[in-house]
Amino acid sequence: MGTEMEFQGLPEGCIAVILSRTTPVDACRLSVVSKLFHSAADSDAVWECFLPSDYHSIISECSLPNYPSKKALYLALADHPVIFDEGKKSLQLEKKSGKKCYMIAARALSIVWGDTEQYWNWTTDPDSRFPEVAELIDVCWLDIRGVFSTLTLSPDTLYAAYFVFKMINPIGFKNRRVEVSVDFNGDDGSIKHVCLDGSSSGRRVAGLQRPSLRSDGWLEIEMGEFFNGGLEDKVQMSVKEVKAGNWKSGLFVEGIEVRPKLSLVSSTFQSAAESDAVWHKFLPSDFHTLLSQSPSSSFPSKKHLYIHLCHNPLLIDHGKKSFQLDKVYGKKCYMLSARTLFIVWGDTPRYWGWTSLPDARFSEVAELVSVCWLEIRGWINTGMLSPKTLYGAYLVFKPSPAGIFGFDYQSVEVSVGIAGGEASKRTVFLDAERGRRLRYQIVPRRAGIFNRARFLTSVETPPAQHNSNINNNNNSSNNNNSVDLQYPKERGDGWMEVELGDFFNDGEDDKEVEMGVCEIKSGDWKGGLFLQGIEIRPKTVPSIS
Amino acid sequence: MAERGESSEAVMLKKTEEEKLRKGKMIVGDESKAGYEEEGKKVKLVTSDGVTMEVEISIVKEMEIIQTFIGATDTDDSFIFPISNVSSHILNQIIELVKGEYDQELAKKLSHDELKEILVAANYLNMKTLFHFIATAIANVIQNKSVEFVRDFFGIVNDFTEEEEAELRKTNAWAFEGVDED
Repeated sequence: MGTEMEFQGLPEGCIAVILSRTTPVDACRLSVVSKLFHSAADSDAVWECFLPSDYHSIISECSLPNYPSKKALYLALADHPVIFDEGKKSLQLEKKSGKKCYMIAARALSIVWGDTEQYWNWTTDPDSRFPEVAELIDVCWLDIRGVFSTLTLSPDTLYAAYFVFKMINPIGFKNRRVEVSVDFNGDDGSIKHVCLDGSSSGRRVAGLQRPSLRSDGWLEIEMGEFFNGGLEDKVQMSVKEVKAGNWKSGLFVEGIEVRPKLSLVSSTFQSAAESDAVWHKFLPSDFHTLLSQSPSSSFPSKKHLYIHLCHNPLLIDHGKKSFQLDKVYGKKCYMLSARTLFIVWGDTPRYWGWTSLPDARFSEVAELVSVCWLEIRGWINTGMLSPKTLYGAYLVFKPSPAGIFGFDYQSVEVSVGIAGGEASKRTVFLDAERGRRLRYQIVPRRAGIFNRARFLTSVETPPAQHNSNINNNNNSSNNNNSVDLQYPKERGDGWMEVELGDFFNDGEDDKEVEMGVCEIKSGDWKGGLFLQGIEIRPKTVPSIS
Repeated sequence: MAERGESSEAVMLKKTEEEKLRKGKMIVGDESKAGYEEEGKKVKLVTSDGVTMEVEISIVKEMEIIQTFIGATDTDDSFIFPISNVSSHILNQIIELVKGEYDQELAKKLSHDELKEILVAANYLNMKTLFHFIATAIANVIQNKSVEFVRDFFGIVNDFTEEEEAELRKTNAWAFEGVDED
């Protein structure tokens, strides 16, 4: 009996039921399958499911006209924001998923000094969806808050709040930290520091998030996020700079937007969330965020997810960072890819190249061709890490086929430090061969191997002198542990790593940690290695031998 | 119809006896329920490949087409209902899904052909919960997939002209970004 015959005979209504369980973007695409699919995919029965459940009240609240079909209504709500609440709010549907996005206009936010003409001015802007925007004339105390009821948001959805603004001849924002926060459900909320002036540059605040340009001509910066489980709750959002207390001006505020963070695995979590309470506890509290950044496969349970995250790094931030869980304690580990690091001469192909390697987790790795000035820096915010944990930072690299050179007798200086505190510095060697020789007292490599390193290094310092140098830098005796720390170790993934230092994350507030690798003193040529990135992971024991 | 299934019925009955035994221990009273509604009772169904299967009443109750039939006729235990659109393999799958309380994890183990056949069966037997369950499972399979994948999945012949299809793709261009590879 031909199943396909029967299947072709399925009524349009059945196809509509299937399509209504996909997403708006699927229904639109699959309308091209056949005439029957087209008819089913355009039916009100399907689009009724994609519209927010309270669309009847939206129609009346936003005074929408009559649309010929539910699909037409959906597209009207998705293609342009509709303004309601006397020009103080806007609603739009995220086109692919149908989830609700709101923007709260500056007029509906509480702005300290907002009604005092000498500090804030209310004006119009042709780019604004709202009748009024707030113009910052001059304040020391910048304090903007918004409150939003989550009941109107789409349920089971990870949302983020974005501050939407413009800068015209800004003063007082360059390289300044502005505190943004999202406080949900009376939790402590997440506080982070950002820089609102996107034009500013410089390494001093390289780790601070900067605004991105929206398609509507405004700038936006993410303030934080929250998972809306569908219960009635309030989310409080704020933008503050009251610590430096300097005068600030040139900021135009459009409002705060609350919109879903696109999640490719959200359907996994809708089902997983029902039964996996236990494993939930083991997962980091922000695992939704982390997963939403990665086009990962789905997991049948949180236990599977946990185990998967312990064994497989998850690529996040457009594949530029990876996230993994520590197998024993479930603490968070990250690797910053070479692309996210600050590498002096990194864009000059003579000195540094970019390539891809099959055993790297990232699509690109940096290849150190040859430099005199070796300087690599990376930054991570402690807010991303597990609290009350001692973390170590590790440079992940390996020799390139060309062969590592210039590092055998040349140490490099590595450092790790929390911003505002003193950085710990130590000296390490990147040439693993050297470490092996020193530890096992093996005589140097066979003379038959033509070693480029020795060929290129003009001055070879006797090893003995270097040993004393190491001891001075580390204030430690020449025991095995300190020697181990100074040489690269093989990782399970075919790469090598060397520890850059460690730091304790007390978890109290979000601090920036700077990690660095430097060799600029000798000025000799060195190179011949691939750099995958810097890994930040918990240290369970002070030194792993 | 009934005669065709005699041979395999014996095997099915053996299984049934064992189940009855287990069920018997669990059932405490509830004799107020009369007739076929009795807990643990079986209804005989004969499938398209001629297998007679005894199916628990709780599962048969979800099959509205049979309920209508039971309601319309004066039946006794010996009555055998023909379900000529459903094979014994698919009926077994359906029983598994109902017993598994419609867990989407179970659906993930089904082949594309099984998914389609269960959908057709659920539609024919008028099993509403199963139909919505399997529609969701199929929706999960075709989400973010290309038009070609879905045509192939359902065995559908494209009945648009080239111009019509091109026009439709143009109006829905936004929906064709970032589609999974087939």
